[in-house]
Amino acid sequence: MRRKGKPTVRTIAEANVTPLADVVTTLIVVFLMTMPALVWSGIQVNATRAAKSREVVRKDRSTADKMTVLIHKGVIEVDGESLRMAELASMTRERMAGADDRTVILVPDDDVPLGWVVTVMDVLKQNGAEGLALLNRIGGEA
Amino acid sequence: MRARDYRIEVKTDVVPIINVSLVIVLTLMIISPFLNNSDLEVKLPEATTTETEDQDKVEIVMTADGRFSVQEEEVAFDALPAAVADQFVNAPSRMAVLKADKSIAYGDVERVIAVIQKAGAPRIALATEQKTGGGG
Repeated sequence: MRRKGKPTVRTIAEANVTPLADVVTTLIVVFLMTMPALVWSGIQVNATRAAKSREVVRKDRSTADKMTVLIHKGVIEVDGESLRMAELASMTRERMAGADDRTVILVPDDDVPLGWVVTVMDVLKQNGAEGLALLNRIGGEA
Repeated sequence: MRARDYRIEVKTDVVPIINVSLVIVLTLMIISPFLNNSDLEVKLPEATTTETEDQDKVEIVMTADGRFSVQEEEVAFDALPAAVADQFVNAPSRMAVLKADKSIAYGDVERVIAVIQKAGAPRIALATEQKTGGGG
């Protein structure tokens, strides 16, 4: 039975987790903020070394076993047919559906801006293309 | 009998703020070599289907006005092959990431891709920015 008038002193043994929580939260916030700068994002390409491939593809594109996309300024050409972006998307989906090798060969013109080439690559990848091969005329000549 | 003297001292507890500041400083010191602080400004092309990796890379920057840098060190076009090749001497399996401005003509980009290939890069990627909103 407790005696009246005498206060009871109880020691509470608990670890103080507040500093730990502070430090951990700070670490998480700093990592979250710096993460976008640490990782890179991009589209991997195969630059094929074939001296005359560009010319061969231009002349004989329909016989190529892989889907070959010629990129001109504002226009995309597949098998001699000029396409718009939406048409390229549906055609890629059709061609990639039954294909064993989903590599697409890209032949951009020299004066086409890189932004446009990447837009085409993006559409191809969205619609099932797995590998993107850029025909590299200069690499082959060297 | 005298009453006990109680003095209240008002002091700010600075220990937590020192903890947090030290953690921030240490983290930034560790991370800073990996952060990009290149002076060359590049507007990357946008894409939705990007591959994201945090593995070791060799970063080659190509600006719209024809300036180049390899791993944040500015180089002239003539010195580019040697500068890129140096990066692959000790780590031949690294990925080469070409950060080229979206307004550059593909012909010029192709020339740089050829240089990177000749320097011995096994894999090349074109750096992109994540497109916000729907793509066509």
